Amino acid sequence: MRLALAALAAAGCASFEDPSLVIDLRVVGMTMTPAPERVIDVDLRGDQPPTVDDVLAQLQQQPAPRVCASVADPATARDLRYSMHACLLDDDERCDPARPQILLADGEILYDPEVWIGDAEPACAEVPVDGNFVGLLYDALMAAPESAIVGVDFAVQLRIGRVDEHPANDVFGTKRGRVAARIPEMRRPNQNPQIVELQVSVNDVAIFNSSHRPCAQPFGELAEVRGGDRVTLYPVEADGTRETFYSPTLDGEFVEVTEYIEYQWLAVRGSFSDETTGGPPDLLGNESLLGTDWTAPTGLGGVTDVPIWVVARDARYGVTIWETCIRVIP
Amino acid sequence: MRLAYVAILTIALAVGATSVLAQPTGTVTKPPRPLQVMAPDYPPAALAAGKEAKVKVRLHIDATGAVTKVDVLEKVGDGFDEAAVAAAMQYIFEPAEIDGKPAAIAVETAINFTIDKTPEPDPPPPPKPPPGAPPEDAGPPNHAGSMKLPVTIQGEAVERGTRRKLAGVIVSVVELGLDAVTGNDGTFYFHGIAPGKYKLLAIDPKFDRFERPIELSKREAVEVRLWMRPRGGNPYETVVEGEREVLEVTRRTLQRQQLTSVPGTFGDPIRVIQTLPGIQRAPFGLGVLLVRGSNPDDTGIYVDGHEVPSLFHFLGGPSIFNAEMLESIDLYPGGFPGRFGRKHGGVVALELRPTKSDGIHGSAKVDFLDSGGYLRAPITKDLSIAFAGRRSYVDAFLGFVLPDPGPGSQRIVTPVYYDYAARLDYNLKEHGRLSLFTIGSGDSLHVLDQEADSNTSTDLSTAVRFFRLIGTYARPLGGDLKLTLSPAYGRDTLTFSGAQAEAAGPFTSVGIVNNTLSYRMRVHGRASKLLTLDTGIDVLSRVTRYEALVPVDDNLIEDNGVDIPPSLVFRGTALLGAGAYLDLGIDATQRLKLIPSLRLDSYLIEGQDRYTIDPRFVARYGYTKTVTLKGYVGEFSQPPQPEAVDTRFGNPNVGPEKSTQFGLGLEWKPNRLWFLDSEIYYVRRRDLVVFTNALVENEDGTFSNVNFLNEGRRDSYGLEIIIKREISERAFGWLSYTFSRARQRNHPTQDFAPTGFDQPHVLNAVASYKPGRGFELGARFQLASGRPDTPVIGATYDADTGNYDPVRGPFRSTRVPTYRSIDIRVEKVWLYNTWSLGLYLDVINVANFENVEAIEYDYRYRESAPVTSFPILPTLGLRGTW
Repeated sequence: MRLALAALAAAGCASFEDPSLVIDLRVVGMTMTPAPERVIDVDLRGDQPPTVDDVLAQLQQQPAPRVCASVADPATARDLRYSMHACLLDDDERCDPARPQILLADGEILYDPEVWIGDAEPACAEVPVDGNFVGLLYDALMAAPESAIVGVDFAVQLRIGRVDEHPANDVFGTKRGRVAARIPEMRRPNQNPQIVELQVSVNDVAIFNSSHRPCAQPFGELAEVRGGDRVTLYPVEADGTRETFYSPTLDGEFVEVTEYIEYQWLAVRGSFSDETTGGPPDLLGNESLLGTDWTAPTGLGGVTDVPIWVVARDARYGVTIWETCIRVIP
Repeated sequence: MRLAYVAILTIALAVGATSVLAQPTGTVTKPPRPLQVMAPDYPPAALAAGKEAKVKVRLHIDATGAVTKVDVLEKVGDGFDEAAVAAAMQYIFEPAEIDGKPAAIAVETAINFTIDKTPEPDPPPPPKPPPGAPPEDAGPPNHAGSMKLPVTIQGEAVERGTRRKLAGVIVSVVELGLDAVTGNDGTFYFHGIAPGKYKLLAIDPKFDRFERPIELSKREAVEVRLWMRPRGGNPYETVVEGEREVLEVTRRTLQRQQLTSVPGTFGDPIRVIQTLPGIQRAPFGLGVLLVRGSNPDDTGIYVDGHEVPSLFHFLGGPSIFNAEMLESIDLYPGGFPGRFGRKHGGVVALELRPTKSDGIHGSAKVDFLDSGGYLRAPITKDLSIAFAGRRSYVDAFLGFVLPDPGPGSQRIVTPVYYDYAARLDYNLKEHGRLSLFTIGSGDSLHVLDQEADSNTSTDLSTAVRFFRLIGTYARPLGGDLKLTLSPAYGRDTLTFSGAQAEAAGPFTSVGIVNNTLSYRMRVHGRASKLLTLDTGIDVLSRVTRYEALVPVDDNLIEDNGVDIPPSLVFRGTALLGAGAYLDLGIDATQRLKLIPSLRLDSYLIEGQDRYTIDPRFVARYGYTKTVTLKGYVGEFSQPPQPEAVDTRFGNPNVGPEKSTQFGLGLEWKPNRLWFLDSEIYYVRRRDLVVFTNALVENEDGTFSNVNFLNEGRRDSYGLEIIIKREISERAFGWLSYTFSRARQRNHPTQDFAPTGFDQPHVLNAVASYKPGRGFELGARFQLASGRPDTPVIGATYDADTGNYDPVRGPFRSTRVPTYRSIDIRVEKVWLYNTWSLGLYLDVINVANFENVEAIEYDYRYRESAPVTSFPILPTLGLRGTW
C-alpha cells in the first residue's frame, strides 16, 4: 500500500495539452452524407452470395457517399496537401496497405484551412459507387463473414500535412461507412444528427441563438463576451434526431435501440467545463446533460474571434459538425 | 558372540592438542574451541582393506568460528584425505580471540582413522543390582553431583526477551568442574555443593556466554534464573529448522531472521521472496508473484496445502499473514512435487506454526500506516490459542501524500485494509495434534475525484475480501510416517463499482464470489531406510458466482457502434476437482536420490469431464560432499479460470492448460556459512487459454463468440543463481541473479513476442550486519530490466468517436528503462529480560532513482511522459515483543 501511495504521488503529474483546445493542425471532424449506414435488399449470408452487379445496382439507387472533413490550424495559415482514400482499416485504424484502396481526392489547399475540405474544393471527396467500391466491400465480407449480418464497414481516410513538411508528420483521420443487408426486415438507413441552433448564454443570461457560423465566414450574427465570462452553450436538436433502429444480433435475433447523441466541444482558446456532453442515459434512465460551459479566455491582446466547434455523433457513425464564432473583448 | 568391525574415529581437536599458528599481528588471548565436530565418513575401500590413517590438517577458522578452508599437510591417500577435509569443513568453533576480539585464525590438528577389530560382544543381559547395593549415583543430564545428596543449586536457563525455556545449555560450576545440561524445561540441578563462593557459567553456541557469581551458605539451597542473550540481537528472529526430507529439486527456504530484516520490505517476511531468483520484479511494488515468466494466476499460494487467492494486501500493501503464525515459507519456482497441483507456474507454500502452551507471548507493531499484533496463550496444558490482527489507518494520512487536486476540486481516496487470524491447537500427545486455523483479509478502496471546473466526477469503489477456515489433524502412523487430514472452507469476494458522483446508481459494477471447499489427506515420511514417501489426495469444489452491471449489451459485437443502457447479468460456474499424487524419494545409492512423482487430476467443469496425468521425475546426485547435481523433468497442468468456461461469456469447451518443465542445477555448500544454488530451466507452456475475437458458425448458420480458446503458447528459459551467506552471529546476505526470457503467442499463426512481464536480467543483493549493541544495518540493491513496451509511432483521428487511435510499432519491441533501487534499513533493539523493543527505519530508494514503470501519452499520442515508480520513501516503525 505504501508503495502504491508513493507511486500515486509520483505518477499522474505529467502535464499534457488540453484535448478540447485546437492549437495546431488538427482534424476537427469528418462527416458522410447521406448518413453512413446504407441498407440494401440483398442477402449476403446465402450460399450463393449476390453478384457484384446485384449489389452495385442496389447501391447505385442511392446517392453516392460524400465525405467532408473539417480541418483547423489556428497556429498559422499555410499551404497544405491532402489526400482521401476509400479503404478498409487495419488494426491501427488506418487504410490497410495490403487491401484494396480507392483514391477519392488529393491536392493542395492554398488558403486558411479552417474550412470544409470538399465544400470548398472543386474535387469533392465523393466515394464512387462502382465495381471497385463493391470489390472493396466483398474483400471486407470475405475477411469477416459475420459482417453479413451486422454490416460491411468501409472507411474514408484523410491524410493532410504541410506542403513543406516531411510526410511522416502528416495528420490522419478516418470516417467509417457501412453497407448492410436489410436484416432484420425493419432495418432502415440512419440519418446524421441534426442541430437546429446553438443557444448561447453569458453568465446565465441568454443572449443569442447561433446558427452554423464559422469565424472565417463574414456573414451572420456574432456573440460578444468579455474575457473570463462563463458562456453556456446548449445544442438544440432537430426533431427525430434520436432515431429508433433495429440492430441484428449474432444469434439471428435483433434488438430495438434508441440512439443517443454525444457532443464533443472544441475551441482554440478558453476552457470547457465538459469536453463531451450527452451520451447514454444513466442507470435510472435520466438523460445526460447536453450543454457545457465555456470560459472565455483572458489576457488577450485585442478583440479576438474564437471559433467553437461542436461535433454531434449518434450510435451509427452519424456525425454533424457545427461551428460558431464568439468575439471576445479583453 | 558376534564379530564386527567398527570404525573408531579419533579426532584430536582439544585445544591442547592443536597448534595455533602465529598470526600476523596481535596476541592470541583465547584459542578456538570446538563446538561441533562432524565424524568423517570412513573410506569404504580402506575400511574393507583394514587400512588406518592419521591425516594432519590445517584448519582456517574465520572470526565467526566457521571453517573456511582445510589444508592437508601430509597426504596419506586411500580416500582419507578427502574424507578428513569434508568432515573438517563442517566443524564449528567458538571463535578465537586476538587481543581480546574475535578473529580469524589457523590451527593444525590431526584426524585419526582407526579400526577397532575387537569382536563386538553380545549385548550383556541387564545387570541385576546385588542385594543391598547402593542405588545408581548418576542422575539425568540436567543433574550434576551425587544424586544421593540434596539439591543445593537449581535453576533454569531462559532466553532473554522471550522467557523461552532453553534446553541443552551447559551449566557449569566452574570451581568444581561440575557440568549439567539443561532439560527440555530449561532446568538444571546441582547436588551436594559445599558452602562457598562459586561462578556459574552457562554456554550455548547460539547465546552469549553467561557468567553469574553465587554464594552458598550452610544449609542453603540457591535457586537462580540464567537470562541468556541471543547472539546477534533480537531473539525473535532466529528459527533453526530441522532437516526436512528433500522431495523436490529446487526449494528456496528462508529463515525468519532473513524474512524480517531485509531492507525495503518493511520487515514483511513474505515480501522477501520477491528478492529470490526466479522471481521477476513486480511493477510499482505490487505484491503479485511473477515466477519464471508465468502470469500471476499461474503460481499457486498454499497455506498448509490449501490454496489462497493472494499473499498481499492490494496496491503493494503488506502481506496478509502475520509472521508469527508461520513456520516456514518455501518458494518452488519450478519442478515442484506432486503434492502441489492445478498450477503450471510456481508454488509458494506457507506452513503454519503450531501454538504452544509455554506461557503468554505476543508482539505488537506500529508504524505510520497500520498497527498489528499477535498474542499466544495457553488454555490448558495441551490446549493453546493464538490471535493476530492488523488494521490500517492510511486513509487518515493520505491527504499529505496525494497531489493537491486544485482549488475547489476534491479528491477523496480511502483505502482500508485489515486482516485477522486465529489458531487453536490441541496436543493429543501420542495420538497427534488437532488444530483449527482461520484467516480473513479485507481491502477496500474508495476513490472520489471531482474537478472544480467540471461537473464530471468519478466515484469508484473496490473491495477484495477472503476468508479461510482450515482444520488439521496430524498423527504419527508408526515408523517415521505421519498422517495429515485437513478439510477447509474458503470464500473470496471481489466487488467493483463505478459511478458518477452525483448519480443515483453506478454505471458499471462487478461482483465475484468464490466459495471453495477442499479436503486433503496426506501420508508422508520415511517409509524405510531407502524410501521416503509423500502421497495423498486433494479434492476441490469451487463455485464462482458473478454479478455484473454491464454498460454494453453482450449480444452486440464489439464494433457495431451500439451502446444501450447497462443491464444486470448473473452468471455462475462450478468446478469439481479430485487429485491424487505420489512422490517417492528413493535413495538409490548414498549419493544418488531419485524422486519419481505422479499426479492425477480429474475435473468436472460446467458439467464436462477433464483429466490430466502429470508424471514428474527429479534426481539429485551428491557429486562430492559439498557439491550436488540435480535435474528434473515434469508435466504440470492447470484448469482454466472460471470466467473462461462460462457458458455465455466464455467457452465451456476449453480444457486445462499444460506445461512441460525441464531443469538442471548445481548446489555447492563449501561450509556451514556459504551456499550456492544455480539452475538452468526451460518451460514450455501450451494450450494456454487466450481471449479471441473469433466467431464460429453454428450448425443453424448463426454465429457466436467463443471468446476463449486453448491456443496460446508460452516458452520461457533462463538461468538462476543465488550465492547465500547463512545467518551467523553478525551477518547474513545473498546475491541472486536471474536471467530469463519469456515469449508468448496467442495463436499458432502469430509470431512469439515477449510476455508483458518479461525481464531478462534481475539482480538482488541483500546484506545485513549487526555491529552490536542491538543495532542491525541492512541494505538491498535491486537491478532489473525494464518491462517490454510497444512504442507508439503515430495516431489516427477516429471521426466516429472523436478519439485518437494509436499507431503502434512492433509489439513489445522496446523496453522501459532499467529499474534500480537501493534500500536501507536500520534497526535498534532494546532487549529486556521479559520483552524487547525494536525501532526501525526502512528507506526505499534511498538514492531517489527515477524508475520508469510505464509511458503515458497525451490524447493524440504526440507527447509522452514516464510514469515513475516510488521516489525515496522512509518509514519509521516500532515493534515490541514479549
